Amino acid sequence: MSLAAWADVAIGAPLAVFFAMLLGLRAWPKAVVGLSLLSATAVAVATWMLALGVPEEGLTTVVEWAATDDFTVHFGFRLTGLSTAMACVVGTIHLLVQLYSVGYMADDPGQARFFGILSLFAAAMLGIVLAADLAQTFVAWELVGLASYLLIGFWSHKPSAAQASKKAFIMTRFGDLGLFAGLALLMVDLGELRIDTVLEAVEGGTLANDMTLIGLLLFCGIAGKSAQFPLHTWLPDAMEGPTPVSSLLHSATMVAAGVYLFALLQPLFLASEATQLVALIIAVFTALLSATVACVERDMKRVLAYSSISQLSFMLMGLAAGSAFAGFFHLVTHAGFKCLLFLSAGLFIHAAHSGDLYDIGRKVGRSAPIAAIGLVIGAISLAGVPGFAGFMSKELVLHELHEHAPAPLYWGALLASAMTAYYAFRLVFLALFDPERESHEHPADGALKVQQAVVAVLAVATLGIGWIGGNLAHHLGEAGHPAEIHWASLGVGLAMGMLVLGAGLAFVDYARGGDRQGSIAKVPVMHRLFESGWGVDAFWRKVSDIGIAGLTSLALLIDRGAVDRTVDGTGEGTKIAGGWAARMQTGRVQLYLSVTLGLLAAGLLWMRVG
Amino acid sequence: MAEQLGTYLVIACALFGVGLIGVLLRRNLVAILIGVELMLNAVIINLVAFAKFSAPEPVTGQVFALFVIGVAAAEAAVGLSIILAVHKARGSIRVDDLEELAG
Repeated sequence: MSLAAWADVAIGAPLAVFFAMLLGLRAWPKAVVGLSLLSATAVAVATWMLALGVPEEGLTTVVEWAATDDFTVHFGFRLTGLSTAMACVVGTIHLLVQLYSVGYMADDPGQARFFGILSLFAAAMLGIVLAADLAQTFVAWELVGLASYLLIGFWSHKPSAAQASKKAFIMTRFGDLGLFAGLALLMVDLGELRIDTVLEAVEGGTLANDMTLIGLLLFCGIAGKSAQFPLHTWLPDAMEGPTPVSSLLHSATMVAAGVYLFALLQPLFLASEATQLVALIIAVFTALLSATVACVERDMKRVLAYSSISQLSFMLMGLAAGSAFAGFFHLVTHAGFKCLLFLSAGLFIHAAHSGDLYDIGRKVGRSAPIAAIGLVIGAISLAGVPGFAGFMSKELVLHELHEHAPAPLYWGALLASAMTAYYAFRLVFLALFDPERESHEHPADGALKVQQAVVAVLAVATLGIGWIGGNLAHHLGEAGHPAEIHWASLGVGLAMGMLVLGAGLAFVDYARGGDRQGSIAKVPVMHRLFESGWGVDAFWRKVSDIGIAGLTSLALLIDRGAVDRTVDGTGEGTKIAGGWAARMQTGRVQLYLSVTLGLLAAGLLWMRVG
Repeated sequence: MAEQLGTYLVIACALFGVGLIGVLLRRNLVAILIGVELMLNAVIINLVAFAKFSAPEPVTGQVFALFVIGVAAAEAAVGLSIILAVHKARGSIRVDDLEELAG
């Protein structure tokens, strides 16, 4: 099969499952699940075929789809090292999450709907990844938003889930406004949005519009999708969805879409120093902010959510500092270990019937061995212990920052990575090392065979993923890029110091018994600030409150002033006119007769004269 | 006075005018009815006069006049009985008292 055919399979198969579900296959959930698994396998195979078969110079096939005098929209695939590597990550994670969901959603009445939308999610994400035209990317981008909305609000009977899904949809829409405006500027400028054309124009400096403006507008969309400050608040709430959804959403789809778009259009962002600096500052600030919140959050999935935000910032830092490889590598490793962490968390939460870390520690802890191993491997990868996935990629990101970014940003990133180590180990100590754990005779997660198998596979994969850096760099066509880590450098030493600092503090706070509330709780002001997510959520609530209050009072004014006045005025006018007309109606027939005669006479006279 | 159409028309006009004034100005329903009768009679005079002076067959006009007299008689009967009913119901036949339709 040709590469384009594999790309067709990768997008078409899951899309077909979604439409089959829509068109009535819903009535047979088993059939939908079966088809969905089949398509997920096909997608995984297809994406691997793409990644293995893509020629070094890339391959683009486009057809003209809509053309007017002023602009043209193309449709097709653009297969490069970057896009096929990303597709591979999406395809693989999607397959694993689907397998995990078979067990996880087995008793859910909405099973068919779930698998259908999950397939749509994958199809839309692959649509972004393989698109040859930014207009096509935009369509798929919005489809990803739609699918995530449907999945976050999957249990829509829960008000919190319904609210979270709305929040996710609206917050990302804010960012998409910027994205749309940026794309519109590019469209007006170039007459088409083919990625190759855009990149050529950027390289040749032939864009008429200000690249800083376009870059910043596009970055708005990325900040919305990839949950960067100040649009990040939807991501922690998105935990209301089923755990497999969180897992997929946090590792390979949705949030990764923003980072991927940045990687795709990196030359555009780097062409303007202002855009680059803004992106770096926002990324570093978001990393610090969300890491602090992750340090105090009690809910296991919310800790992971804030850690995702922070790690996404690291990816953007790497990309914005100038290295496509460092940022993208971190995306890949993060996809592995974050997916693992979420799926392990799903096992814990299932066993403990609670997402609270202290509950999980007390009720389950080490009695769920597979989940515990998954959690430990995921957490030490996240923390950046040398040799594990997170360390490799984060080290490269930090190295890039050190080389190409202002020093304060580098120090900020180091601090964020210390906090990463702190909350990662806090997660492990709280969940697995509770001294008051109730003892179980049987493994608490014994019944979940499929899920355990998936977690085990992912755990092994995560162990290996850190070592593929060289291959990945080669695949991205950046063979000359330093994928190697300079073990003996000052940067690695500093990072190690941060790791030891964070992990040590977590050990002191949580592993030695005592009240296990952590150091931050000793400073109530800080604890409150962190716990409330620095008030960003409250800020947005205030904004929407004020905005809505303003809108409603304007609407009230119009309603009272214009609509009511018109209606009332019509009534009043009719009444007054009626009063006059009534006065003419005297009830005296003789008067009427006189008037009639008078008019008749006048008429005759007028005819005579005229 | 010579026998000519104009004379009859003047007399009929005068009679019509008297009837009209009666209809418009009198307040008593019976008087109004009388006014109507006068106007009808003015019309009859016209009919007969035109029949005599300008119609090819004078009989047509006279037959028509007889019909009008019949209709007038019927009208008087109906009118008077309405007046009687009004009087029974309200004890008055002055038009000033009958103003229910005033707005």
